Amino acid sequence: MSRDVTSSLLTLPVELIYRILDNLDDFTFLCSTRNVCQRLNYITDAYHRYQTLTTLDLSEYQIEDQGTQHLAHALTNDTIISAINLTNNKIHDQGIAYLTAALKNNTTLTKLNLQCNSIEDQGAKRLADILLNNTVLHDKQIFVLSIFILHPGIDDTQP
Amino acid sequence: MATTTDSSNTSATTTTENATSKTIKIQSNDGETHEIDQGVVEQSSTIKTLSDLMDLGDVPIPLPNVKGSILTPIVEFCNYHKNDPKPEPLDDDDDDDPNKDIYEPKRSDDICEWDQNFIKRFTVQEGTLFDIIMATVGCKTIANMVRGKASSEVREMFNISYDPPGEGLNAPNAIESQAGTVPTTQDTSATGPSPQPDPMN
Repeated sequence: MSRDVTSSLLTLPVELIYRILDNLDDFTFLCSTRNVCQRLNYITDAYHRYQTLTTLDLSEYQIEDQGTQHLAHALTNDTIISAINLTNNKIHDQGIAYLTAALKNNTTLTKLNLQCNSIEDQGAKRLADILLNNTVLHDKQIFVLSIFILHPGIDDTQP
Repeated sequence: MATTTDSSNTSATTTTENATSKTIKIQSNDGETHEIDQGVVEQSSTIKTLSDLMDLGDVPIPLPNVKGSILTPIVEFCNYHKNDPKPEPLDDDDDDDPNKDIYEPKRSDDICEWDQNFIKRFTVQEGTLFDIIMATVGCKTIANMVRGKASSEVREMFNISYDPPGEGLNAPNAIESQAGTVPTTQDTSATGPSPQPDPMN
């Protein structure tokens, strides 16, 4: 392990980092700058856009499974975002797996719209599992709105 | 705007000892053009890269992040400082003191008098102080570098060491491992209902 790693990004003044963040859309901001390291988290915790980022509209954002993975990573211990609109993206079962794994640790998110994605039986089952079996999420009343299921296997699990 | 212009820069603009006669035109986002010589070009990596890459001739280099009212003082600043000695490499000093806090604020009392007068023109209220910082173009460049990257890639890109808060909740592989074994291939589409028991029953 080399100790001479000087992080130029982290030595920037906070105002400059905010200037950089101003150039990013919400999705990039969350996925690429949250949970990089503690100091950056402290800085972004106080960033005005993050503090007001309770609703995230990512409809028709061309998000695929990898993007979902990045988003899930940011959501793991997020305490700000309460609603996400992911309609009309390209999320498959793999993406749902990332998402549901992250939601196990998230107690803030209460609304998640996954309408018009490519969720099939496996993904739908994971969503159903997390709705029915996770008491924290159940108490928080997560609403999975209108999951579009290609194979209508368990579509009677909507709350 | 430029009423406080220091006259001391006029001597600097006329000196060309370390510069060739080659000049380059740059243009602010509101169409103001300036002619700068090689000594000034050397101070801006953006302009230098662009001018090295192509023979621009008379076409001005557009600087879409910079307003004309900010570009004028920048050219003035570069003209004043173009004969300054090159700054020492940054990674020199912390090698001798590994315990040095990298977040320790840098000294701010070593700004020369010309610079102090120069920076007085820019204020927080008008936003011009931040405009002059923005004009370094770096903010947008870094933003572009970050776009589409996972946080682990950002960490790698900027040499940020990983320091998990708590018990590795956001460890790079945490999500993958928690996600369990999900088939990555598309073959599930043909297999019909899930073999696992239905949670509803």
